[in-house]
Amino acid sequence: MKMTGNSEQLKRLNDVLAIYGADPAGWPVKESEALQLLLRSDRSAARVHNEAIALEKVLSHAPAGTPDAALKQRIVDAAIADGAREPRIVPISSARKARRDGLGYGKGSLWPAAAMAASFALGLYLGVAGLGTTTINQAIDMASLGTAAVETDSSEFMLDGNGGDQEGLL
Amino acid sequence: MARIAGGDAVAFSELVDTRLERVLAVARRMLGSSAEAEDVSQEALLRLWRQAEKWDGGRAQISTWLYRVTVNLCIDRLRARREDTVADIPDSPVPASQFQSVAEHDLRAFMDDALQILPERQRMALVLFHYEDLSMAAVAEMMEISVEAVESLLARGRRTLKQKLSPAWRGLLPEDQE
Repeated sequence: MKMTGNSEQLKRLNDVLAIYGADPAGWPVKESEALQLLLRSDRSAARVHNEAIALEKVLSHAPAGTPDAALKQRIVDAAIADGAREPRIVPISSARKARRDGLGYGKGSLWPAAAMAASFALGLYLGVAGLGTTTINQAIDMASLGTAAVETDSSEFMLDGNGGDQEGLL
Repeated sequence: MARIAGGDAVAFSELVDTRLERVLAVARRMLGSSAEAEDVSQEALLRLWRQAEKWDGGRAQISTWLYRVTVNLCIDRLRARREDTVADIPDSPVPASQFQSVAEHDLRAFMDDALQILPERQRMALVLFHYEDLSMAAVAEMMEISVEAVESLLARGRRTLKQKLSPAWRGLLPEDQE
């Protein structure tokens, strides 16, 4: 059976709709005018075009994902932390984080150096103020309280008949 | 791009602001998973950051480069998935019954499932041409195939979707055509 002109055009319309979609603006320029004329003159053509429009409404619901601030920040942070490149300018929020990590508990921490400096300053202060002996004695007293508590517990344990001779242990 | 090449993290942050949405959309539609799409988006943009020093502005536009890298990363993920699990993608069309209760489904999830049923090259062509509005020539170049081959992929992909999604789109036809 030989196809009529309209059925050839209808077949081409089906192909164009499948390839380019329902919007005539996206159709090949050379064919667009003739196919739009067909839409106006042929009910079958109008029907398949309506189907293509309806399909595109459904296709528009395909989830695209929404980039949120956390994801953006994660990507920028990863770039800054990336060993392959050295960032020249650090965004303020990331800089705050880096500073916090550096002085706190993160990798490459300054904490040991800061602790040593603080110890040195305290020692100097105690020496100048002449408080060393007193303070050290107080510290020893405090420490002995802890030890005494432990010894008391042990003594009681040992003296109750289950632990043997306390003096023998010393 | 010159600023990023110089290691300017603020410039990179601005680029992430402008490009992330498109990169994420391509990855999301290719992979059907938000978490994986986020990982791919991060990797694609990080590659741009690493590549910036060697960037040849005359050879590739940033958007084209990002699309290509994103699509390749998605293909890697899809192949890894296939290796991890025995493919459960049906060879034959999914029974219509699976799609009959559109009203009970969230249309987005329904659409998501339908896209994932397409073979990956049909899906890629559709995502780049239909959703990203790239030219046929750009899609052909990105996929390293001819324009005619892209047309064929698009036609097969859209016809498959038309069949799979018929319960959904039929409800949107004009009243005199239902």
